[in-house]
Amino acid sequence: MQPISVHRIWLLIRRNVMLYGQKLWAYPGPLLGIMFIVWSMSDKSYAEGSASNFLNSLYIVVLIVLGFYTSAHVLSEHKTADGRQSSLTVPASDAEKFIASWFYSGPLFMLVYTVAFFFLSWIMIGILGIFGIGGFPAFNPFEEVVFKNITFFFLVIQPAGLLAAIAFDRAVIPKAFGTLLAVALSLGALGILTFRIVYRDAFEGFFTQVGKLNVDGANFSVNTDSPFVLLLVLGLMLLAATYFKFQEKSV
Amino acid sequence: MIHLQNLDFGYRKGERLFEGLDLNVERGGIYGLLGRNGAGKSTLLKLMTGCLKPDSGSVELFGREAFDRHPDSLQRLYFLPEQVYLPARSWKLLAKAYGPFYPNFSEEAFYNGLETFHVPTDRKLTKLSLGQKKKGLISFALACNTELLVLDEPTNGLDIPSKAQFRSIMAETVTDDRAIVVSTHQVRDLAGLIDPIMVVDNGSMIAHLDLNAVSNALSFTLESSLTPPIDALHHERVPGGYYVVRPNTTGRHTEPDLEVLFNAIVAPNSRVLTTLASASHLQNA
Repeated sequence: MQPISVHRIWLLIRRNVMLYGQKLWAYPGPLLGIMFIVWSMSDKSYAEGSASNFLNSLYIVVLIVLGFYTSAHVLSEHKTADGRQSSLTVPASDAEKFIASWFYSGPLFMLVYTVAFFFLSWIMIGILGIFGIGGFPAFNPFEEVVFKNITFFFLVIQPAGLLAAIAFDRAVIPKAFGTLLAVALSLGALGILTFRIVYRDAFEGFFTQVGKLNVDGANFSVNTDSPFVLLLVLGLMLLAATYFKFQEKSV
Repeated sequence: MIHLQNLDFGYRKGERLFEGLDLNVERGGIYGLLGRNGAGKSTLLKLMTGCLKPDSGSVELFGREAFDRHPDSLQRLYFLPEQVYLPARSWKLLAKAYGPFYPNFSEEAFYNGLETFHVPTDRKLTKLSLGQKKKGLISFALACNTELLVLDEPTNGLDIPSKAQFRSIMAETVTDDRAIVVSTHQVRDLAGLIDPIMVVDNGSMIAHLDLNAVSNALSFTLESSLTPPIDALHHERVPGGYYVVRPNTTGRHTEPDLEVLFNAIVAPNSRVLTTLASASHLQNA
């Protein structure tokens, strides 16, 4: 049983911030640039509703890319034998090191990024106001779609970044997307297979639909919570796979 | 502190680097781990510190399985590898990031060490030379005040004055409640410092020797002869004559030359090893 001490986890998070935190603070500049360029080029963004959608879309795209980058970075020591040796001999258990890496590149990164994005959207409004362009809302992190859906979605897929970082030495970010895609495709295939089994009478062969899908008349009810549970299970599976890979690391 | 029992290890299947290796490291000495290039000195240190998993047998570190990398064991040891890894940060940040993991870490001792070794403190660590990085990490290792220090080729990359400083600091550091394990192939750098010595060759520990016992059993002399001595257990041509190892029949102690001793031990059908084995003081591995 791996020992877990809150104090050591705190020391590890502190270490991660000290060693890798500079990268976190380097995000706002490029982010501001991206927002300025994309926003000022998009006429549609001037309409209030689409401006909000645009910001939310930008928020999630940059969140995922930078999130994977942060995950790869926090485990970058593991790319080389010397780095692994340095990391493995830090006096903390593998479980503590894993929790600290996850916390840093997941919840902590997301908090810092969200706060930065919020303030940057206000700065953008200020800059655009100087040029006489105004009338659209700033980014709202407490909007339900952001606060609930995007946060949850990011925390579910973020372990894919950690898994890629621990499993691969090079091109970690594309491989993180690849890992995620592979998992998503596997789940999709499983879903299709289940669907095909449930509605077996409506199909000829595997793909040719010949009958009507009688969803209303089905003698079972659809559980609307299942996507949430499925994603949660996916996130936990990715975390577990990453931890076991992390634990077997040696020089 | 460290107990290796019947250890087998190889990087590839079917290629054994160590087979049935036994070793104990106890408090109160600077253990010199000697061996030829590729004999597995660094690998052995990595096994001792839990960085590698043995194929079979056990490696105990402070009473726990080393590969479990239990925090209580790790905070009692500092391992300085031959190839050092340093982040692109400063010494100050390094001390703040890693120091708190070691209960007896002294920031003051760390900065004193940097000063003694003349290591610049205002530069990014990645901009320093190998020797400066090594000296900085040696200072950090000493400031951790751990019970066990494991140093892999610590003098590689050090300049001549730094080697002397290193020897002097190490001599001050070792106490009865601490142990230092130093691997090296530059034995002259550590002459007068390491005792006992452990020699790894062909996958096993062929000698684990207390140098006092070696002096009791053998005599080391420099002879200005033009022909090799026929009664010697081992001899080596040196400028001006031969360095000769003979059984110590006089009872007078001579300082063993570690390089000559090492060569004598790893020589095929080593007569020195046979003589030492027959001497009662030998702690055979």
